[in-house]
Amino acid sequence: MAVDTPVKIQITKAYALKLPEMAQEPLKTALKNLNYLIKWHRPPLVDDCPMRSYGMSRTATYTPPITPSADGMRYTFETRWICSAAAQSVTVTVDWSAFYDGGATAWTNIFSQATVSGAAGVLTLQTKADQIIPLTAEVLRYQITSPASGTRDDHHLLVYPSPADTAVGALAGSGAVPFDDGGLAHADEWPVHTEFINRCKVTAVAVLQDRWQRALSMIDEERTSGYTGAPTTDGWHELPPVRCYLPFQGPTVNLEIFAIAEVSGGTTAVLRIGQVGGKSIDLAATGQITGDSLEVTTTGTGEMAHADLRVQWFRTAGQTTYLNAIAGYYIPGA
Amino acid sequence: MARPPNPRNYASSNLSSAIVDAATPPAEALLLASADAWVVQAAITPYCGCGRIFDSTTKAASNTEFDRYFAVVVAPGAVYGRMALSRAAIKNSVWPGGWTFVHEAWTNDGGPTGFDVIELPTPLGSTHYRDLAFGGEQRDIIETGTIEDNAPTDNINRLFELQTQGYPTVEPCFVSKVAGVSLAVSHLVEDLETL
Repeated sequence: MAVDTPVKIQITKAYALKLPEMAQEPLKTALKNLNYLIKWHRPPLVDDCPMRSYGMSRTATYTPPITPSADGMRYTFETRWICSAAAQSVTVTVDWSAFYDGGATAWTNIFSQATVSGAAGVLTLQTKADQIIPLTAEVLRYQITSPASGTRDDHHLLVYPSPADTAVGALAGSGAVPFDDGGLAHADEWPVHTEFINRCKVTAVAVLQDRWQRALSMIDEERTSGYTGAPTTDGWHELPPVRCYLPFQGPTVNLEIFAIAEVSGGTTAVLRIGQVGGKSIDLAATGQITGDSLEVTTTGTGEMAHADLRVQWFRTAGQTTYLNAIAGYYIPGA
Repeated sequence: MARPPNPRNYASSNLSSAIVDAATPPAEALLLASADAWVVQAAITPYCGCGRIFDSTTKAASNTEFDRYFAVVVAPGAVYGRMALSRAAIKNSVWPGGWTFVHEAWTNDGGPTGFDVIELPTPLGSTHYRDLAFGGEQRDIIETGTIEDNAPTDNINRLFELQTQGYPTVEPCFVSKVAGVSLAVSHLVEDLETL
C-alpha cells in the first residue's frame, strides 16, 4: 500500500477511456492524479509588483493580505529586485499575522534570508522554498533591507504552494482525500467503486477551492508611505485599469477582494474597486483589512476570457488617503 | 487518437453533486472518463491571470524605472501566452527627448534578448503615469499579438513562448513602460498525451 505522487500529470490514452478494460486502469491513473494535484496545484497566493519601487535606499515594508490554504501547507517565496551597485547583500524577512492593525499587529516570523546581488543593475532572484503559512494567516509582512551601497528597485513578490508529498489520510482543512493504492491493488481487483469514482471529483474540487488564485494585486509601502496619488488634487482618483484573465470561466465570476488603506482624516469609505462598465464594491479605509465579494462578467472566450478591473479612491479636501495593498482572489466555482 | 485539452468552466458546473450515486455502478466508460476528466481538467485549466497594478511609467532619475521584471506560474500544458498591458496617457510628460516610445516585453522561454523581445509601439505619444481624475482621461489596455513565430527575425508583436510541461512552471517575464500587466495562457498543447 502506498500513496504515490506522480511528478507530472498522468494522461490516460484516449482509446483507454473509450473502451476501458475490466482492470485497475484507467481509474487508478485518475486516482493517482489526485495525489499529483494535491502536491502540484500551484496558483499564486501572492503576485505583487510594488507600486513605485525604484531607487530606494531604505528598508521597504509591504503587507499583502492573503487567504492561504486551510491545510496549513508549505509555500515557496520568490522575490525579485535589482541593486544599482554590484555585490550588495539584501535581507528579505517575511512574517505573518492573523490580523492587521498597523503598529499593533502581532507578527510571527516565517523566514529571514540574505542574498548577495551579482553585477550592478542585474536582476536578483531570491528563492526561499517550502515555508509553512498557517491557515489562520490573513496578512504577510515583507521587509526588504537597503543595500550598503547604491539603491534598490523592488520588482516582484511571488508566493505559490509547494506542499510536501501527499500523505495517507484526508486533509482536514480542504477536505481533499489522497489515493492509497492498497484497495485498488488488492488481488481481487475491486470493481469500479462509487467512492473512488466520486473521490476524483470531490477531491479535485476541494483542492481547487482551497487554493485561491490571485486575480488582482496592488501594493505599496506600509501605512503612511503608501500610495497617495496626485499630490494636490482632491476628489475621486482612479488608477489605470488592469485585465484579469479568467480562462474558460463565465458568464459571471465572483472575486474576493481585500484591501488595506487609511486616511489622515475625513471619511473612511473611500476605496472603490470594480469592473470597468460593471459592478463595484466600496471598502473602508480603516487602516485594517477590509473586504467584500465582487461579481464580474467575463468578456472574450476560452483562454482569453477576462474582466477589466479598476481601483478608485476619494481624497477629502485637506486630507491624505493612503493605498497600501489590494488583493483580489478567484475561487473556481465559487 | 489524440486527447485534446478540455478545460472546464467551473462557473457553470455543479461542483457539489456526485458523479454517481449507485452503490455498485457498472464500469461504464462514461463514468471512468468523467472521473478522469475532473482531475485532468483541474490540473490543466490555466490559472487566473492576475492583473498587477504598478507604476513603471514615471521616470524620476533613471531609465531603468520603466522596467518591470515579474514571473508567472503556468499550469501544465501551456504553449503560448499573451500579455495585457495597461497604459496611461496624461499630462506632465517626463520622457527623455528623442526616445522611440515602445513597450518591450519577453518571456524567458521565448528569450530575453535580440529579436526574441517583443516591441509594441504605442499610439499614445508621450505618457506619464499619474492617477486619473474620476471621469477619466486617456488610458487603455492593449493585448500583445497573435503571430506564432518561434524564430523571429525582427522584434515583431507575437505570441510569447511558455514552458510546455506536465507540471506547473515559473516563467520569468519582463515588460516596460506600463501601469499594469497580466498574462493569459492563450494556447494549450493540442494533445495532452504529448505531455
